[in-house]
Order: sequence, then C-alpha cells, then structure tokens
Amino acid sequence: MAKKKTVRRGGGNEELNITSMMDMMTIILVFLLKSYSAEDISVQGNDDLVLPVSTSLKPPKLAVNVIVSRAQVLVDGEPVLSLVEEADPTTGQPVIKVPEAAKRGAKIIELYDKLVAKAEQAKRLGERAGNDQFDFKGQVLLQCDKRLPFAVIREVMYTAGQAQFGEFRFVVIKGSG
Amino acid sequence: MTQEKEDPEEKLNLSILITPNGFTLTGADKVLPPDSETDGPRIPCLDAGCRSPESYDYHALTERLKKVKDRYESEENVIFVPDGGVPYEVLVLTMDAARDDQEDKDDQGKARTLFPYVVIAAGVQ
Repeated sequence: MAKKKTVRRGGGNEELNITSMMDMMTIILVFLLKSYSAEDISVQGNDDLVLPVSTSLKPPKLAVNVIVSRAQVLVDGEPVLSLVEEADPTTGQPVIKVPEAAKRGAKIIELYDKLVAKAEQAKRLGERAGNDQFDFKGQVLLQCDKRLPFAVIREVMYTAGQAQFGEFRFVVIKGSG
Repeated sequence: MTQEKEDPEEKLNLSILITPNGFTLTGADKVLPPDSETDGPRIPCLDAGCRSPESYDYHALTERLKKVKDRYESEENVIFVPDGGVPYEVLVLTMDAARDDQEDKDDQGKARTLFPYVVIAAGVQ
C-alpha cells in the first residue's frame, strides 16, 4: 500500500498572519460588551430592599439606577440620602419617610443635585458619541422595596422628573404569568 | 346586556384610584357607570381595611377592565392615582392586573392586552 507523503511548502520559516484573527476577536468582544450592557443590571437584594414580583416580561434597559430601600436612596450605587422611620400622626403606626430637612416642597435636594449632574454627564457623553443610541433619554431604573409607602416613591419620582428624568422603569422579580 | 362601542370623539382617560379601601375606576371624565347593581365603579378589598397587598381584589379589577376594553378597544393608556400610604407592591400588582388578562390567551400563549401603558399621577396627598 502506497503511503501519501505530506509536502510542506515554503520551508520552516513561515509566520502566522494574525490580522484576521484579531478582527474576529474584536468583533466578538464588542458583541459581548454590548450584550452585557444591554441586558444586565445589578440587583443587590437585602433585608431593606425586597423587590416585588411581577408578571411583566420586559427586559430592563441600561439607565441611571436609583435604588430606594427602606433605609436609604442610592444613585448608581452611591448613597445620597438616609430615610427615617416616624410615627404616623393619625394612626400612630411607624412609617418610612424622607426627612423634612432634606426636602424643599416635594423635591429632595440631594437627590435632585445628583440627578442633574448625571443628566449633564449623560448629555455630554451623547454629544461626544454622536450616535442616537447614546443620546440622553431621561430614563431611570427604579429599584424600590415593595413595603415602602407610595408617598416616598412619589417624592423620588417627582425629584427625578424635575431633574429631566421623566421615564421610569420599575425593576421587579419575574414571576409566573 | 348590550355593550356600547367606542365613540371616536369620546376620550376615555381611564383612571384607577388606589386607596386604603380598594380601587375606584373613573373614565370619560366621570366615574364609570356600574353595569349592574353589584358591579359598581368601586372594587373593595377582600378583607376590611386592606390589611395586606394581597387583600386588594386584582381579579375583580381585571374583570372590570376587560369590560372597559370591550367598549374602548383601541385605548391602551391608564392613569394610576395611588394614595400616599399604599405600599409600592400594590402598585406593581395593580399594573399586572391592568396590563393583560392572563386567563384569556391566544394560540401562541399570548395574553389579551388590556391597558399596558401606565401614567402615575401624583396621587392623594
């Protein structure tokens, strides 16, 4: 039986062309980064932050992340304000509130300042990117503890609205539906 | 019972008031008229005083909204007017009840859409 011989061309000093490999890796990297940034948000549950369960199927979008737990308000992970627990004057029951000293009317001053800075930053980034996808759209992801009274969330939403964030997406835990 | 269809000139402005006593539906600039003596605009909680988020009658709310949707087929917006003391969880469960009817699914398993677009009003102070 005749054996086939493998013939090597060009001798043993051949260099590997990695340009096409680099192109491919770059495309994969961009794809992965885009996938992660579009679909993943950080949710850190604890005793003070229990998210409600919902039948909603919409995936979250990347936006400014505002967390309202039973203890504090955070913007993109940075604590902005501590909430207080006081007795309700009519029922005597303990109720979580935004401290009066932290507000001007229904506007929460520290939160307003933080969100205005975020809005300005997002607008600058949008201008530099020169791409509609990165334009400032005034969207907020709200992660709120399910036991909070609506009055607290109303003040947070009102403050965000004053700081040019007019579209809210509530983060929930996906339940059966 | 005859079901009147949507008048193109008539704006619905469907609103759901979420109070410590249950839901109240308003629309077309008035409290929605009851369809029968037992089917009024107010949907009380299943227990007196609405002691927990589960006390609210979300099933009855969906049933009422289905009747409103039958009449205003193209309408998709709803305004929520929650009381300040209502827990946030009630708001989310009310959104679920108003969004679609999970008991009425098509061949692809998609629930019938009711009022998916929510505007939250300042509420009762």
